[in-house]
Amino acid sequence: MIVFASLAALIAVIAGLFIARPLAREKHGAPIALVTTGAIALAAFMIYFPGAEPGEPGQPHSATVARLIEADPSTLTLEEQEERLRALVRREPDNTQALAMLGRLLAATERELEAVSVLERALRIEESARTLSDLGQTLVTLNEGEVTPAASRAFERAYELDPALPEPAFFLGLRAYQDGDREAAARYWGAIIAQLEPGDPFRGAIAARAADLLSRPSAGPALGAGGEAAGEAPFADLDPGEAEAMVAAMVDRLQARLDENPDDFSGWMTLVRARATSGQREAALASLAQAQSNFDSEPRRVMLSALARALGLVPVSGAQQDEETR
Amino acid sequence: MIAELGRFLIALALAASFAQLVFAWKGASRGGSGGFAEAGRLAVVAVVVSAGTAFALLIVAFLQSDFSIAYVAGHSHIDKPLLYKVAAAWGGHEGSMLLWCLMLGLFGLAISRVGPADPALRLRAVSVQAILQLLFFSFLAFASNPFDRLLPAPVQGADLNPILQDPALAVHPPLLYVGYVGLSSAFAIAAAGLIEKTPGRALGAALRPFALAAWTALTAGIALGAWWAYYELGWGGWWFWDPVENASFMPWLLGAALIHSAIATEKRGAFPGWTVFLALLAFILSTLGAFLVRSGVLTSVHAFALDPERGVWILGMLASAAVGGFALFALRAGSLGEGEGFEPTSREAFIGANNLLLAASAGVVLVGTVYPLILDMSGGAAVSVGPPYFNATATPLMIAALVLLPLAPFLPWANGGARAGLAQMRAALLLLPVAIGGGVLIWMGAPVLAVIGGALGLWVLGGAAMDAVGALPAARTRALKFAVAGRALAHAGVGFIALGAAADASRPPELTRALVPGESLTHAGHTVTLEDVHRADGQNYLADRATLRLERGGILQPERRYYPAADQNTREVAIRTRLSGDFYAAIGEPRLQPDGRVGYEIRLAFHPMIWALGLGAFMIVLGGGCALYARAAGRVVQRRRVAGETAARGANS
Repeated sequence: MIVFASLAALIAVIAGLFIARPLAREKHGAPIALVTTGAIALAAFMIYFPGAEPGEPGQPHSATVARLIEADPSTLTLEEQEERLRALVRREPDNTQALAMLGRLLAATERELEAVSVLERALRIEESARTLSDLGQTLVTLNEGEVTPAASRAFERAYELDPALPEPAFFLGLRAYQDGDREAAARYWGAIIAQLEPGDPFRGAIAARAADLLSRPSAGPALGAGGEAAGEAPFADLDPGEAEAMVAAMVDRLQARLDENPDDFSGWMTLVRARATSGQREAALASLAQAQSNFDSEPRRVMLSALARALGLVPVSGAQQDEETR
Repeated sequence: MIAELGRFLIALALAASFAQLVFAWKGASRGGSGGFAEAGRLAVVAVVVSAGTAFALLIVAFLQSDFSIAYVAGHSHIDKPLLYKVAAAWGGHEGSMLLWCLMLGLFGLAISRVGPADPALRLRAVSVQAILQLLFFSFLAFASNPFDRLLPAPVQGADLNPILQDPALAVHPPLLYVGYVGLSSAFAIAAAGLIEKTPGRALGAALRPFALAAWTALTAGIALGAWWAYYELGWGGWWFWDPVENASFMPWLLGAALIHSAIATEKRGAFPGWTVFLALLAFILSTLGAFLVRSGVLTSVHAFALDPERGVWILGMLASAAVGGFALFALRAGSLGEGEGFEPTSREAFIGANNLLLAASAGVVLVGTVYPLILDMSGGAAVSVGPPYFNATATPLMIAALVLLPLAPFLPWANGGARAGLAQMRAALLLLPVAIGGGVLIWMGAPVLAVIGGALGLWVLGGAAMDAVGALPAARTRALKFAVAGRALAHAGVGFIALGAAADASRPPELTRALVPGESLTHAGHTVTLEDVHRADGQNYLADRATLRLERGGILQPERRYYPAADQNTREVAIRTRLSGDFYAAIGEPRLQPDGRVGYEIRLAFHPMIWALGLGAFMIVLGGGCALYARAAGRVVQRRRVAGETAARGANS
């Protein structure tokens, strides 16, 4: 503040003297020149002050970045965290860790286009299953849930690099599901569930998601991207009696199909769901028991349990919920 | 410190402008010499140094990305390329206003150094310029300060509008401002002449070089803007009769009228009142342009700083300049003299006729530009005045001006000898029917206006060529040679522009289609194949770049860019220039084809002989430069002659 005020005063006086110097040649020139110098300096300060912030130093971006890099990231806002990561990348363009984190942060803040660019940049420097998976997920989000061929390639490569990583396998399962291959989807999802420890939060989440998707009627409403049903009321235009009759017919056809092919895991899940949602609780429980006896592998049982809980066919204990649906 | 120092220097420039007004005025009243006159001249230097340093500090703030300055935060981003960090200093309202004020100071300095020969008139003009500086520096300091702070500072800036991140547009505003603000010096000299009761002839001579410099820069600025619009906005047009384009076109038309009228005033004392009136009006229309762009009264691709409060400030400045200038004109126009008489077939008569046509063109453009605003403000219906109005009103006037344009240089001043002069134009006159016939043959099925424009372009070019061939060998001094060359070049430039505009008006309709890689498209005899579309991200943007292979050889690579910081898309077109015209390609949105493949919207256009527009503008600017050089060279010769005569008198005595 003092430095600035002194400098400004010096500049103003020099400017005033520069202008007023020739006035000294006039009659009573010296006092006129002095008054002029003072008036110019005073006027400059009077014009300067409204709205001025003389006590506030400048904030070049380099200083801001230095502060952010020194700071504990957890104390920073999202915007500051982003700028911190960008600054790290500017300093070390090959810092794949910073690039991957930046890509993840951008994806989390719904800036998928930028995220894809950053993640691709990280992958050009060093291939990593985690980054490939992030890229694939960002592409899925960008395409409103659809696992596009580009996303699929990213997940396949990530799966090759690290089969234990749950996300690539989940999305490869989703890709198979979106292609209509429910058995392949169930295999992918089952494989992840088998890999994960019972206490792993992903295990319950994946089982619940798999149960939801695999239990949807395959000939039902068109599935939107991500396996979401585009419309949940296929019989909305029918009166309740007709709708009930159509559901009953569908369930009967499904039961007949499963009698012929009892290995159709998705078919069993669909049957349980159809019966539970049409009020046939006992029949649903019977179908569930049948399915559980047909499929004795641990992952498939976990998926069936998740379906049963979602449909309210079994009470959910606190411990179970904590373990499987977190 | 930079922000506060910059703010202080703006305040100092305003204070020094006041000193400039007081001392230059007093100095002028004392005959232009003495301590007050010298103090007035030094005050201009102080203004320029203060404003120039403030502007340099603003650029430094941009280079440092100091986002604690609101203007920097609003117009920059750390990842922006260096050129655009610098250009952003004038890319927004506040920075461009600082540049405007700096230009005002620089033109004040130019008046004080190379202004009117009469010292009293020169000092008076410096003081009038100081009044304009006071108006604009006050606006800058109190309502548009580029050093206003934004505290706490954001960690990142909002970036400069991506469509402004272009080399042509980095240069376009400064040139335009030299043009707009340069007209302030013609205004200041004209007003000073009225105050000093300077005879019209001397006044015409005094303001002509300033008007010429300003008009030349304005031409370059408008041409760069048109070129930028042609390739950057992605739809291939170069003039849209947009209100802001019109705002620059009106002072250009009046500037063109002024530099010709000033010739007649200087050479023959003709139209002194009209010349002074034009000098006043041209700058007032420049300020009107600033009002239209910065007040928020209109919506345009060019409009920025949409702030009604600032609009009121500018309206106040506009009213001050207009009321002051025209009141002075009403009171003192009689002192300018009446000039000598002339025949209807004299050069003055033709210059006068062309002046009226140019002024009338400016008038109809003004009406078309402000009518919707006035109607809107008075509660009337919202109307839009577009190309149909301007083509129906301004174009015929400009066609008439083109018919007369090549004739004036062949006519003698005052009276007599018109027939002999026009005889030199016989060859060019023969070009007219040839040109019309050729035009019809070349542009079969082309719009009538395109044929007329093409024929007139050739007519003007023929006239300019005849002028150069006839007058250049006869010019004995270097100054005269440059003057003739400047005239011929500028007139030929107008001819090329008419030719280019006519050719472009006859272009085939553009073709847009979604192409999947591997597919081809034919337009205007060119077949292109989309080879691929790949990512081509830049420093601060993400991009899809298409590779289009031309059957005749070569590739075109248009881009579709996304600037994340500004959250804005742009198109970078690819252009292949040949003598026959530009083949122009742009890439649009991806489109999912019925077969599930992804196609890209590809737009192709062919602009015949569009290069003629650029060449024409370049020739006009070159012509203006030659005329300015001729003026400077003539001045040096005159000074030497006066010095020689003085020395001879001294030796004889």
